[in-house]
Amino acid sequence: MPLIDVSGSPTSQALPPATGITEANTTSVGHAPVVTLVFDGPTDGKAFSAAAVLRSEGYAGTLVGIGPVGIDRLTQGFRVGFDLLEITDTELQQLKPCHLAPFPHHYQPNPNGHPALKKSA
Amino acid sequence: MYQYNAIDQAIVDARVAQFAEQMDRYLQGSLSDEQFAPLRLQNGLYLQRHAPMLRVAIPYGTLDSRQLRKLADIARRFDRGYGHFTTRQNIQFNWLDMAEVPEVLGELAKVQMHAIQTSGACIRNTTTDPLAGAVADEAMDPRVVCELIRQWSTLHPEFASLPRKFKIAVTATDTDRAAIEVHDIGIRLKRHAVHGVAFDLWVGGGLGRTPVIGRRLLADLPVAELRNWLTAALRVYNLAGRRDNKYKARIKILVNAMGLQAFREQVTHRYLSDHDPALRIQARELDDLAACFSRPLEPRLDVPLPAAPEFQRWFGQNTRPHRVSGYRVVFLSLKRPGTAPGDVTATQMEAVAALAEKFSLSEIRTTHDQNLVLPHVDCSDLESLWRALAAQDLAHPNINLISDSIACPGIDFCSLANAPSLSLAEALHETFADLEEQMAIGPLEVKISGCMNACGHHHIGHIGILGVEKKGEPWYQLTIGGRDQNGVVLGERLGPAVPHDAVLPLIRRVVDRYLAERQQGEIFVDYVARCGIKSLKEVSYATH
Ligand code: SF4
Repeated sequence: MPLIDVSGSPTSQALPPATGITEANTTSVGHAPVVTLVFDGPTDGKAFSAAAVLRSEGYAGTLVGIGPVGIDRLTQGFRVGFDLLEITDTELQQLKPCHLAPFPHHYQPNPNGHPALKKSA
Repeated sequence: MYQYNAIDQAIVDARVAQFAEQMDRYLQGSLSDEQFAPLRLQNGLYLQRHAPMLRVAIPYGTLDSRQLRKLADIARRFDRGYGHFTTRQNIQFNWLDMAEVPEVLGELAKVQMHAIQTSGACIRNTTTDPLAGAVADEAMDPRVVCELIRQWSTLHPEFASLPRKFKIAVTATDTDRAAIEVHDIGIRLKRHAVHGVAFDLWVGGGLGRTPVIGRRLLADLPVAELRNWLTAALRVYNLAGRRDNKYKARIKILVNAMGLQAFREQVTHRYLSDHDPALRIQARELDDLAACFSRPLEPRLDVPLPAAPEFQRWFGQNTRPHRVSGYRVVFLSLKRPGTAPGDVTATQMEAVAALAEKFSLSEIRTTHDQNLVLPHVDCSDLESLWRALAAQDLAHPNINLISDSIACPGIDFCSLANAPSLSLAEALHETFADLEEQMAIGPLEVKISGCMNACGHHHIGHIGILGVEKKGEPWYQLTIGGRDQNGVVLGERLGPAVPHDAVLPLIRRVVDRYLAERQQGEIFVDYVARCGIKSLKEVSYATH
């Protein structure tokens, strides 16, 4: 299934085996260039925090989320620090710019190392 | 009150557009029921027994007159002319047309309201003391902290798919009117020698099928670090909370399984490791928010109040002291015979909006007990207000009395219910129709839930009533001695469940025994604390 980046462009990327959520910290992933985290289901959000922890600890490689992320959660995934997220072929056909950036502002600061997001005054 | 800036408004407007697009996809068939469910729930939209229900957020239970008028307008144009105030200070509309929900959200956005995160596995509306800003002994106005949490938690990318719903409550007085010990996280604000104001963080409380009283996780933290500590606690929960069984997914189960000390260590580790300076709260931010909520009032000389017994009864029962002399806090009872607890018609909402404008600086509060409050009333206006409220059937003098029960919607609306709740609330009015008798009984909170989910908070009712199913029939389990203030206590089971028609006779026997055995001036729940429930058990089941 396709992986897309924050602009919605499909991207090919060789993926390493998935890292378990409990191992998703910089001690265990070290300087791996790519880390893959799994969403177990359409309402599972553990990987959002796992990604946030990695970014917060300074992980600077490519973070990939696979599994049923869903087009309505893409924006969350990119905001917590994922670079690439998996979607289905059908979702790719349905994808519109509004799914990638539904909000003009955010209340939360951006995770380390990612594009600055505006926050409430 | 807090007023949206351009950024707040843009976010809420964008959320309306996002939900409208999601609804379009659902109605066109590109989203299945299963895919749409978490999306609609995050926006407060339920599919109830008869119709879609929309739960609208009332952040920390504070409304202004313009907003209440809009709720009345929605009730009239899109619902059946009324709304239902809930036990979490929100309002629900029970009879909406699904396709019209985006339009309703657009109407709400015009008055800085929304339904964001009023349901679903996310951080819900933060609740607080309904008397915030109007009582004397506050460390600070808790709504300042609630508004900070509202902004931080709204559409938080990391915490929108938690293991389960997550509820936060804030209190700023010694008397906890926000029941922080039965919330996933409770925040107690207090004066502090070093920080000025500090907070204690409580964790792991909750009702539902496994009621647990929360425990203090950390103490004396500076308010400036609130968002970093909340992020740390939520992060530990999101990573380690169970997702295999929804009945084991609340943070209370995680804290118990992990042990409080281990949970504390993990939260502290995350706080230290992930600390984000951008989340630190600046003094200026606190000051600006405090200014939004501040209501400077000049003390007034005492005025003579009408001596009429009806007025005096209402004054004694439905008003409370204000922090400024010459003012009172006024409760509007939404518990009248013939009306479901918390229900208000559009006409009544409009009347209250006008009265708030005239008598209470345009401010209205919603309470956990499903009543309304006008928080800042000049004593010289009390008689006029009382008369105007009486004309709207909103001056029933029963606040905190046995007929001021709270009840979830139960089987009349809720698809999860085992049993009716509303009919028992009505039966309380019938059984204890005499207000003089209610006053003689004294404060007695009855809380009614139609199922184990405990939306009626039955565990912490002085008398709690839980609807259970027995051979396909609704029966009721009673608990006695619960309380939600000054140290939460979970009620103790009185005995076997009884059928619907046996509930009120049983309560009558309990009340009569209490009246016979109480010490002078002793209220029901103190009597139970002193004597236990043995005597009440004996009398309750003597004829069964
Ligand atoms: S307690 Fe049960 S019946 Fe009552 S509203 Fe909650 S889920 Fe529905």
